[in-house]
Amino acid sequence: MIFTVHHVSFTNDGREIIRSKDYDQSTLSVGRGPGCDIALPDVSVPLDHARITANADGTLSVDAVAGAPFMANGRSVTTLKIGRGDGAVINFGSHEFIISRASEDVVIRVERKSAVADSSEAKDSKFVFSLGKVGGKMRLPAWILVVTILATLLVWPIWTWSNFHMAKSRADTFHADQTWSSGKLSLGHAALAKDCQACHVNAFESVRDSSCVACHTKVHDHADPKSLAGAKGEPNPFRQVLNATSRMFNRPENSCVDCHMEHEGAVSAPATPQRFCTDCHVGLSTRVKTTKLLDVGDFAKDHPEFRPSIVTSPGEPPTIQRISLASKPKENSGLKFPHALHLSSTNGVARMAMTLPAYKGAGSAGLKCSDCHAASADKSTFVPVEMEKNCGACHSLGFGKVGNTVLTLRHGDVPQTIAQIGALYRGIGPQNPAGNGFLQGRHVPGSSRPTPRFDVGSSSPDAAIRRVFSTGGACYECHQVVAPASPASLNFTIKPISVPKHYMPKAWFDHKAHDTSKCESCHTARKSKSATDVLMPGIKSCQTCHAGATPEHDKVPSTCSMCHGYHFEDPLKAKPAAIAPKTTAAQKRQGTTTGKGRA
Amino acid sequence: MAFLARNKATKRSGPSSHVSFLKYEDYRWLKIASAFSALAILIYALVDVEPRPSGNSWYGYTLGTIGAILILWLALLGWRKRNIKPGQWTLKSWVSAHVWLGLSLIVVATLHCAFQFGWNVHTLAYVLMMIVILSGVYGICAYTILPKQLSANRGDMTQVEMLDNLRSIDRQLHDATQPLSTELANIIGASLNDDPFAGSILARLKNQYPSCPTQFAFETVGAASRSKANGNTDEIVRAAQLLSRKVSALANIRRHIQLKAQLEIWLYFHVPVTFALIAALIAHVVSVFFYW
Repeated sequence: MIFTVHHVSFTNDGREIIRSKDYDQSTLSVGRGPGCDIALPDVSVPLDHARITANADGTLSVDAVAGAPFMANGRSVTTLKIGRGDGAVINFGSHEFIISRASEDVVIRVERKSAVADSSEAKDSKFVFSLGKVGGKMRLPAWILVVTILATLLVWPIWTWSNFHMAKSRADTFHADQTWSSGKLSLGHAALAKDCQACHVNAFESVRDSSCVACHTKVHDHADPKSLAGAKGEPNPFRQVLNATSRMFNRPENSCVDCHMEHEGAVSAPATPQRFCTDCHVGLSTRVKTTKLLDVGDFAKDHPEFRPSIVTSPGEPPTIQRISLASKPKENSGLKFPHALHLSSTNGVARMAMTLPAYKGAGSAGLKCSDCHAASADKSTFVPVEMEKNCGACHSLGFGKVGNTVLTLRHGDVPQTIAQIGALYRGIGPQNPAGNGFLQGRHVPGSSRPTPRFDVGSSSPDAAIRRVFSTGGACYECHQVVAPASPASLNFTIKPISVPKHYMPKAWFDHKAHDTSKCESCHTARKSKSATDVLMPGIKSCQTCHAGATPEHDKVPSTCSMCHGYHFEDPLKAKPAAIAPKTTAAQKRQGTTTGKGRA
Repeated sequence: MAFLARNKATKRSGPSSHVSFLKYEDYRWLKIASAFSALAILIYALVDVEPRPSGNSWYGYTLGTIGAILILWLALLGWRKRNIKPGQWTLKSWVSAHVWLGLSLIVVATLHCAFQFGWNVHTLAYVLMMIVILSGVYGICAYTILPKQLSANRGDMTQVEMLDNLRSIDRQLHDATQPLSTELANIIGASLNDDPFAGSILARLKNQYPSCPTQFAFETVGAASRSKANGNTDEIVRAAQLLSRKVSALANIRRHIQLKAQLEIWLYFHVPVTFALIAALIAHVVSVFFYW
């Protein structure tokens, strides 16, 4: 049998070159060794690898010599039998043997299938040296990122919006459009954090006032819209450009959100910037000729003197006028009350206060402001002074005694007083009229012993009644008495006490924020000898600590909104914790709401 | 604008000495970008935006518009460098403007958002932009430092020559291995079959190939060549010498690969994140006006 071995190789341009050799022998040795019949220059082939034997029955045997396997028809084997007339494909290392038959002879085609080394294979040097060989294309990660971002942060939020469009509320869970929030909502709106559509209703439309008033039902306009428009005047060219741009982007002017910024952090709603006030109120009188308002600018420079509400005549209703403190107004509240007398540290009042059990804690300096003026629950303002509670300790209305019980007149009820005194003198009242304190002046409560200075010794009921309402009498001491038209009549009346609920109704003031200061540092009560003195401090007093919008050394920057509101008429409503003066039973009877007994 | 007009000295045609893209035209774009940034900061400081500066103010919107246009223009460099044709501006001019205006974007975007950040689409766009810019800054440094090292490493050889040198050594090694024992032949065969360019991104960057078959072959065959117990000592010595040359050639190639990797790695952040940034920018702008 003859073996014909074709050694196949290729030129650079891929042309096949075949070198053939015949072996007239029954066995061929295969290996890397130079002594082998078929010597393979292949480092992965052992020196003496295998034998190919032609058997007498026409079959072929391929056997590994040293046990190193070879690949036959795709399987790793150490021996192979090839049937008579059959062929086979065998791999020794990188070489492929294709065994076929030509009549009785065996033809073996030997071809190297891989390069002698990895480096010998074709390599694009530009590519293999570059990171791109292992880094791959950048296009895929770029697209993945683009699609992910657009899907999660654009499409999903819009889908959420369309799902809940015009819905009344949304579940209190995460919604994709929250990823659009540019910052936390103010504390007042914190509950809306997951309900973007409570405010952002329609796409590409700025937050409309309708969203705000849906909850803020009681907020009213600052002024008539026409007046407001007139007050603003012509915007400067820069502002005109901004306004035009805003309109172009569907963001109309004069909306709530112009002033009320949101998404500025989880704090109280920020104070409205000063320019929203001063844009109109600086030079207002030049634009709105009919206005009664004074021109106002920055607190430090352009704020007029305060104009508190002053009662110029007590009554039903009282006459109240806003008068500038610069003109030193006088108040006529119907009350006679010298603050200086009561706050003295040396006079009889002080001595008396020192002996009273209720005031002993006050020390030796006499009465303090807080002995009569009690702070409200939130300490921002004061509860009204009441005669019985705040004055009665000294100004007793006791007029007799039954056993150990002191009889007192009913304060605030003039007919009752007249009837009580009349009954006393007609012998149907309590005994011991001569010792009645109300006729004689003050005395220590609990004791009916009169102080002799006020012992008037009235002899008849009418004289006694007249005495009470006249100079030195118990009522006359604090009240303005209206004498009856006829001298014979006993129809005395008392002018109501009218004290404004709030001296500065266009502003609010928090006493608690000022509790490090003494009362006298603002209110000159110790020097006030008459109740007609207005003890409201002037603007200069405030300006010692408060700067305008521009910070100054050691001063508190103060914009308009520190004291003034835009939507509120009643500053006590603006500060909900503040307590309005309560109406006493006597007031109800008399049908007055003015501050009875409020000093 | 006159200052943007082409300088005759930088015409594409005609010889000119090499000028870095950073210094291009006497730092023209550095000056423009610095002046622009300084102006932006000055206005930010002077403009009284209440209650506090934010993207939701006229100045915020102005800077935002400028920033968005700038980002899109900067991204166009990728398109411009693929479109090589004679035009008004050279590619170097583009790159110089890209670098310096890109850096000024830090100022523009930061003032635009007025230092307000949160877990939202807006800050995402900012963060992506900063990743793009900072990777670009790395790129500037890499392009300034590494090319010198690259040419110092490869000497006079080109990449093709480095590869040919390795091929030549491998062929000789292959021949020299033929008479060797199966054991040694297998060890050298592993070196021959090893792809020197198969290292991972990390291996390329760190130039660390801990289980390198060539290194192993070099050590094993070298030890065998010094041992008198082996036959065919001359053949083994020859293989060991060739392996020594291969180790040296491979070190050279790998250092080259490392420098190339360091030179190119930033683009793997710069380019895909730019696309991510543009997507986030679209989401940012749409969301602002959608929930206006």
